Amino acid sequence: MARPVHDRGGWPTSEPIDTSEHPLADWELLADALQQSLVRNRVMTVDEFRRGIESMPLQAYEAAGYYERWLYSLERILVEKGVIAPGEIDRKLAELAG
Amino acid sequence: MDQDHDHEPIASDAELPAAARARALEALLVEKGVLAREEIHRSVDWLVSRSRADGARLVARAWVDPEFKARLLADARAAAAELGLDAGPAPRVVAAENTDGVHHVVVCTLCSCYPRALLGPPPAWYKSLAYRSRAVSDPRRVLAEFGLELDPDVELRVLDSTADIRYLVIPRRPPGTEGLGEDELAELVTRDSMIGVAVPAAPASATADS
Amino acid sequence: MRYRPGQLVRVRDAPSVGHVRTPSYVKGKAGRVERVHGVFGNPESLSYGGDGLPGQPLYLVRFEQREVWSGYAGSADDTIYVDVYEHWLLPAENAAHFPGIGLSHRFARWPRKMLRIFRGGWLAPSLCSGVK
Repeated sequence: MARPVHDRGGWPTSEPIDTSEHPLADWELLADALQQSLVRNRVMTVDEFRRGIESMPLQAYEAAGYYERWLYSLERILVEKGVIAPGEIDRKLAELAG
Repeated sequence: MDQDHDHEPIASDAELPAAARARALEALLVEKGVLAREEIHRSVDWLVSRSRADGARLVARAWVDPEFKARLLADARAAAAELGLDAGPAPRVVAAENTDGVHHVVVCTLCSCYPRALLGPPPAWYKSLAYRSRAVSDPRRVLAEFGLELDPDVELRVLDSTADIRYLVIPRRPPGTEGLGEDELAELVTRDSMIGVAVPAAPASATADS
Repeated sequence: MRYRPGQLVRVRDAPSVGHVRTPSYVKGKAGRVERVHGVFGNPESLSYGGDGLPGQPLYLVRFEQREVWSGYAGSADDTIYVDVYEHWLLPAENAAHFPGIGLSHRFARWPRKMLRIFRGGWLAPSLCSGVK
């Protein structure tokens, strides 16, 4: 039985800990704010949000940056709840880019 | 942004796919009336307003007032409220006191739970897979990587925030600080000392204790 | 509230199905209840849109690091504290360690070399009564 992807205590690793500071970029603050606001407005619970992150496949989870995982989960849970439609973010992306 | 391994330097965050995706999601949610733009801005403002300052105030007050410290250890949220401080949305905040026999260090192995209201956003390393893995299984080496060598006779207590409890470490008051006021003491209390990977430095002007 | 501070408990060794907040590294391990945090909504239900009921008592459980990790490289006294929901705990019938272990936190102010004598276990029962 595989351990859940997020269950990292004691997970074998040779990765050094990068102790330097990495200030948050604007988009990361935005991702954080979206999550805070969605939870505060009871659109989703923090538990659902965590479950969304934990649903990532292992390789994706490990390759993603921290707030990329947050966005993955927000999208997944919002689609699951029917707040946004599948593919709707891609369409909005194209619209904003075009 | 990707704290977990090296990547090419990014010229501007607007070029990252994730950045564009975040903005697209924001636009959609505002269009649909799910969230108001003003509220999103308030959430950003709140996060940006957070720093280690409020946590440091709690520690400094605990250092000078033993009865406050006892109340802080019993119920950190209520103690913070006494000073007009917001301990954040998590249901419970627990303060853990370092002593000469015990040193605490906090981690969230399952995600990144952290007392943001009192310490500000967590540092990237706290959220990293490497810290989440080794802070529980090899904590003394992790502390050594942060420059903190603990005496072997000191009990190292790792606190893994696996539920909705947020943990805050009350570091030990450095020697040579007897003459300092509360504000000066608060200046000594670093974010890392309230996570437990560091201890506060004695003030530079203090004479060294032998 | 099934368990009390000071009580020996063991974490269930069961697969994590769905959103589980019990980390794998303590599954099957015995520890002592340090604190009772209160009753909280069950995250395993809340994470799927459920109401989180019945609420679960949440315990801060203390483990000895050398019992959690084989080959643990720190000090013998090192501990790890984990928040565990009641439905993931069982009473520990027999702790696979010395009876004196887990009491050291009550003697935290005692000189550490005295603690080592008590850690052997056979003195601990006679000292339990009468200690603050």
